[in-house]
Amino acid sequence: MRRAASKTNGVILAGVISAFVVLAIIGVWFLGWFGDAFRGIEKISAESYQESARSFQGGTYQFEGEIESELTYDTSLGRLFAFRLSTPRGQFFLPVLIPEKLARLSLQKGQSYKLKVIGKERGLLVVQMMEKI
Amino acid sequence: MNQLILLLFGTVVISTSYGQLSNANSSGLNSGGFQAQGNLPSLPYSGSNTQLPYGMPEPSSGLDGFLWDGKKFTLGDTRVFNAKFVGYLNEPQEELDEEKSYQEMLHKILDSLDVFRVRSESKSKILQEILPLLQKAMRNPRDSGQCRAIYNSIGSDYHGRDDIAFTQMRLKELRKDVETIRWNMQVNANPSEMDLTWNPGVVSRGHVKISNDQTELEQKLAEMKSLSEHTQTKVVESRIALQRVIASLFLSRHFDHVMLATSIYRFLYSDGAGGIEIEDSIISAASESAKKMRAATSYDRSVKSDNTMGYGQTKGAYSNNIVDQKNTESGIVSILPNMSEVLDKQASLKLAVLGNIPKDMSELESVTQELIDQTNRMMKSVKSLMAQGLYEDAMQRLQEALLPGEHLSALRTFPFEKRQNLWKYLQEKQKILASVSSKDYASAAKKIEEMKEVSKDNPFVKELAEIKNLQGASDMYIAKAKEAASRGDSDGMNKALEEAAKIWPQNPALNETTQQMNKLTQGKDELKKLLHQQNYDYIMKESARFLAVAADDPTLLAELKSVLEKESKAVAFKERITEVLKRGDPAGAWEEAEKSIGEHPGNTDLIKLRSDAAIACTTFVQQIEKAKKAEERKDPAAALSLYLSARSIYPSSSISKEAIERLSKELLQK
Repeated sequence: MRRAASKTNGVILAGVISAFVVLAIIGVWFLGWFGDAFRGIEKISAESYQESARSFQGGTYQFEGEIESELTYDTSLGRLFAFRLSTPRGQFFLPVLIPEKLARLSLQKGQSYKLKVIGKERGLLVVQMMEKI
Repeated sequence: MNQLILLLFGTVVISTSYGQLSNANSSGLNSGGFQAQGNLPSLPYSGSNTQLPYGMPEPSSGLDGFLWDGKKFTLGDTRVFNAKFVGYLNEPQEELDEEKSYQEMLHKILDSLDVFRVRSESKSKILQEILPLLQKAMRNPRDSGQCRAIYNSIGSDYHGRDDIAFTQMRLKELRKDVETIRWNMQVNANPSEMDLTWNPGVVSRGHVKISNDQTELEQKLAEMKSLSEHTQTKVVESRIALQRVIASLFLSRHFDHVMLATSIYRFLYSDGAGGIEIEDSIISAASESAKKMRAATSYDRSVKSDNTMGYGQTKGAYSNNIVDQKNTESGIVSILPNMSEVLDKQASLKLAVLGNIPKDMSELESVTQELIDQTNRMMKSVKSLMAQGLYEDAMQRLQEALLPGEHLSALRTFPFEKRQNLWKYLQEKQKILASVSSKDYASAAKKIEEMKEVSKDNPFVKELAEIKNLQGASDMYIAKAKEAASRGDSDGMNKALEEAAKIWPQNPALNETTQQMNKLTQGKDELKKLLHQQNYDYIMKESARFLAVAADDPTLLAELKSVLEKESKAVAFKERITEVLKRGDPAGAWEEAEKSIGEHPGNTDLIKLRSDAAIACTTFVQQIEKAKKAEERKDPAAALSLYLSARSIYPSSSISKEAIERLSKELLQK
């Protein structure tokens, strides 16, 4: 009987382990999906931005771009950069404010980043998050 | 007396001169004084006409006049020449042979009527001599009815004499009858012895006869008285007829015929020769007749005003008012033109005219002879003066001789060539007078100089000096105007120009200066118009002229300088843009053009250059244009994005650079 019990225990154990593994896999997958910060954020239309930047006010957008130049700097607000966006319709340049809290990043011309930005007053794009590509 | 008679003929001159002098604004020499009035206190007044404005010298007529009855009459008046003298100068001279034969006939008649011969020879013999000569003379073309009038007077006298002869015969018969009646009456008055008894109560036959004789005697005596009075009347009538002819000849200045007629008068009426007085009624009638004959058929009293405006107060210098009043007569049928005018206008003169006809036949003869002699002397003087080249004096003597001696041989035979020489001289003189009158002093001075070569006795020497003074004064004012203009004193300049114009309106320097001033004014107007039209290109091209034009106008000058400065920059821009384009930098050229057009919006050259450059850098230009539009619609972020795009196309773009800096800061402002 005891043998039967230990056999049963082993199957259960294997099942539990398997389930655990499966759960682990599922968990990892879920975690991976939900953990993407740019997941679900609308990609910005640079062409539309040039036509009317004010209409981007209040929205959150993402894009990938290369630092073209630093335009200006404000101690309280942060640094205003020009990012070059390469699109099928050509190259566009967007002015993006990188807040002071992200100033620790070592930003240099030519670096490419993936950025999550939010449209502020007068259509100014302010970085919420950025990842180096 | 002779002077008074000359004065009578001088009324020919008086009439026209009077008309002129009585008219202050006539077109004569002095009328120039009314053409312009001004102040020239520095100049001495040289004219004698007190009606002229103070300080305004006027050249005198250059001709001396004479004073009479407190009035001044100018002998050299042009109207006299127009009426009489000019006509005479242009008349062909009388045929010498014709004149000579005519004069010979007159002299023969006069010789036949010699005062001593008249006393010694019978009347019928003398008449037989003179009547054929008179007939011959009156058929001569030179005679214009004078000899016929004398001839008719003689005829009239002899008709009267025939009548008187018949009357005398009748008177003789009557005297005889009267004697017979008287005898009969004496016989009847003594009773015969046959009548023994005398009865006082009965009328005797003798008494009846006496009574009849008395009646017959009274009738005869009455007839005799009547016939005697008739004879006297006839004699007086014939005399008066001839006197009338003589007075008429005297008034018409046919002095040769006056001498002839007075001799015939003395011959016909020898009882009164030398002492007989001309009837007052004849003098009056003759004067009235002359007055009627001398009436002009038309008069021209027109007044013409000419207002010539020159450079006015606002734009220029002067205004000139010319008043030309004519006072001429035409269609004068009389031998003494204008006499009627004088008689009408001056009663006193009329009386003088009437009062100065000689009343005595001898005096008339004497005066006539004196006039003939004077005329002959004057004509000799005319010829002598002309030979010496003294045309002015010669003309004056001829004019004086013409007045009384128009019909005398000395004037009629004066050579046509000499008349024409004087006529040409007169024309030159009239031109000078006209030039002086119209204040055309340059022309007048030139003609006066030319006249020196014609006549040694130039009457305009004084005028020439006065003209020089006036020219100098006018030039002085012009210099003053220029000086004022150089100081920018336009009021002073205008005033000085006005003064210069008043003195000598046709001063060439004035004209030149006025034209300069006009150009200046026109230039200012043109500049203002060009500035208003923003036609800076043309202003730049004519910059030197416009700078001169605006020199005395600080506001305009400042505006012009500003424009020229800007336009100079525009020119520099053009040169630079063209250079950049040549270098193959269209975007750079476009940017330069864009900036320059901002400063010179209407500059078509810059606009064209910008267009040329834009064609070669379309994308860049489009980005800039879009960026500008975004800025205009207050979308700085979009504008910044677009400027960044533009800069990526043309990294040297200064427009983009400036805009990026500006917009970047704007975007970070709270």
